[in-house]
Amino acid sequence: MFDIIRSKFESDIKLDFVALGYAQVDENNSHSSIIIQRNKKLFEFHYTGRNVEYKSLRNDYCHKFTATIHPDEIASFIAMCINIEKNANPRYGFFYSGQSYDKDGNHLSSQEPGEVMTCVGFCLNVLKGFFETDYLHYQDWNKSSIEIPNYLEQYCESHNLKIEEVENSHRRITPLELLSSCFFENIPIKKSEIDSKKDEVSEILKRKFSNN
Amino acid sequence: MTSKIQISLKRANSETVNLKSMSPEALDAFLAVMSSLKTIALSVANEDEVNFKIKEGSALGVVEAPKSKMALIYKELDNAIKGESDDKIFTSGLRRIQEQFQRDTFDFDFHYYDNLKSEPIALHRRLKNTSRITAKRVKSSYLYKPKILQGYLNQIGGKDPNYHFDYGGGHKITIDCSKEEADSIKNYLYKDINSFVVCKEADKNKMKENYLHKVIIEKEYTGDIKTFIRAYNQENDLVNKLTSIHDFIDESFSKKKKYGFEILSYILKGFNDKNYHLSELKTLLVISKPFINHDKIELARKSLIETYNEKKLKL
Repeated sequence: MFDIIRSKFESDIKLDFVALGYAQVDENNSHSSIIIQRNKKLFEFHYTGRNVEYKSLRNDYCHKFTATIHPDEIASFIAMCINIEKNANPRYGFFYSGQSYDKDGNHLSSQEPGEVMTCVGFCLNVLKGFFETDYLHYQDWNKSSIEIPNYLEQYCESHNLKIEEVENSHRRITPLELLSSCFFENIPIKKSEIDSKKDEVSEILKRKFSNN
Repeated sequence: MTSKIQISLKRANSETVNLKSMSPEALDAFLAVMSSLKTIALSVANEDEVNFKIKEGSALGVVEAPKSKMALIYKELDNAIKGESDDKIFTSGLRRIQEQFQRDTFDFDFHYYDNLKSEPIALHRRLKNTSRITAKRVKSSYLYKPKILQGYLNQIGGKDPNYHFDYGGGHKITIDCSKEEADSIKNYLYKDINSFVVCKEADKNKMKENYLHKVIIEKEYTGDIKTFIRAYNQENDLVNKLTSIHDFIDESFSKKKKYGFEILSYILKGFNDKNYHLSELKTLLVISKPFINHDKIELARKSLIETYNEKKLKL
């Protein structure tokens, strides 16, 4: 129940669930998505770099349930994702961050996009929108925290994004760090907590993806 | 006066079973059945009321208890075989007995002796042939749903405060409220009002409904909320229900900004009840999150967070 699961092949839970997913795109690139099971069907809910998509699961992910979402709240999380997808504005590659309005009640879909984000940034914003407090202790991440060389540069290149637009919102939180965050229950989750799990998660991922 | 339940393993692999020489497999099966018999007997009776025996010779186990206790055990057995017992310990014990009974290699007897003179009641065939024994799921006996009630307010008060809508011809309904609520509702005395209530419906008897007051809705907003609530109650899928709340609030905001805040405020108050699903409460918190400090939303949302936290702690 609390393991890392290869979404396409190992998932045998019948109930609805939400999880965070990690896909190995190629040797240097990984991708983050929210994995949703609803009525026994799997979906990936993610930001492709161009669009917000809520579609039947196609990519080869490993996922893990996040302990931060109570089982009885799964329905409300799924409903929120459906609403975000419905209102996303593909023209700007813009999406809601869980907050559909500004504080005056202006619909955010009608505004110019504030930030362009990465796949991780998208997942983080969705999570942030769901909770009363931040999902991650964002201040722990800064430019020096990068461990995978050129992660952000490669991400921007492969998604045709300008690095300056992404840098701030992204803070170089990687898909591996996002998946590792699933092991922690108390939010905001600290970088030191995630760091303590990263190596183990990375090993598990290597093993999982090598079984074809 | 005691009565008893007796289980015997008569044959294993078509041979008569004797305690003096049992195959390991037959011994396991017999012990599993006896241990489960102990579990189910002790889930009903106290330890000092029951007595267990293994008869010499054949593989035959007996549990004895006072007649009245044994009648209770038998009643629970009968219920469990019918699928009507909600006792998890009892039903899982009986299920382990059933698993042994359903093996082709073994032949068990299972009898209830009400008294020693009359014929015993045989249970083995029923147990063997019925579907897998499981505990009956206990459903909450009430359904809670939002409702908008309209009526002429002509009476309010009482020791347990409530107010009435009188529809004439003896048809009237009673809506429960708190003392504080009664104090503000009385301003509407002798007026036609619309109340957002939680409707408590007894599961088995749909005619019987109780109402708990949440908020009075001003006329100009009633139509939209009523339409929304009706569709909401007709939808059975929880996620679909929740997306309909998102859609309704989106729609209300797109009409007019002020209108959106009013509607959202009514919905936050109307759904502020611990009997709603945690996801229903959470969805409203997610939707209203951008307005934490808005004067029409702030207090209603704070109160909803309290209900949500209280509910989550108890789950």
